[in-house]
Amino acid sequence: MRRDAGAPSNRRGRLPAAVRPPRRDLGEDPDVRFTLANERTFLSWIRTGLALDAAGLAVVQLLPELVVPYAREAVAVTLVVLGTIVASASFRRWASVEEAMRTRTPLPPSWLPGLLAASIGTLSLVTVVLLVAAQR
Amino acid sequence: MSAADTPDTPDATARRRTFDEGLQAERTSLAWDRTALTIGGVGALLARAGGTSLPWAWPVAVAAFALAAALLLLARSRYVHRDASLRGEHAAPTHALIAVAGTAGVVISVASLAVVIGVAFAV
Repeated sequence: MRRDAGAPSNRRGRLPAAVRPPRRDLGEDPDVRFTLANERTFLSWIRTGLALDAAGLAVVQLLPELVVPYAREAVAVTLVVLGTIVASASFRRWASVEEAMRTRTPLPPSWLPGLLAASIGTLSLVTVVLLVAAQR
Repeated sequence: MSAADTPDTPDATARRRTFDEGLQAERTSLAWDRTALTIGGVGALLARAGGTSLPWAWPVAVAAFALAAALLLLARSRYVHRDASLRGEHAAPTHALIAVAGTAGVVISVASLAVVIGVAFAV
């Protein structure tokens, strides 16, 4: 949903959308505090994605075998898949927020916090149940 | 000590107020540092989890360490240079650095996925 459709294509137009930064000539520069806040928010998301990767790697290394076959592996894969989703969504989120700030339009909504909260909540619950079952 | 008693010119007062109000630049610089350290940490985990059975995890880990070191240095120099832009009203984000960090996050995630699958199912 790029608002600059119809603008003459420039060098950045050839980059894939996943790594295409917002145009610097779009709208006007936002307040520096908002620019930096958006940058820090992006970095927080990237770290969240990396932390999910680390959690997945730790699960497969440290967790004992669970009662349900391959449950441990499923937990690890889910964590790392979540990390991949978060990491790949974070750049586009940053770019769309930057673009909205430049054009003084409302910030786009994000499904990422909801997805993350729901899946980490479910995953934690499942892991606790499996760990307790493994101790009995 | 005597300098503190010297009254500021209005210009100097305005400049001090404008510079890094709310410590925006410092917090952003620290966020870059944390991200760089996290990238290095996950790189170490990748090498550890990959072990000897997945030798390709090592180059990924080495690349993660190199990127972490580069990001630490770049964040440092960006913080120093941001001085100038903060004295004005606007600061352009460094698009290239953000794209690099975003790409690194995806690459490390995919490598982690491959290591988890390799360790879990293909031993």
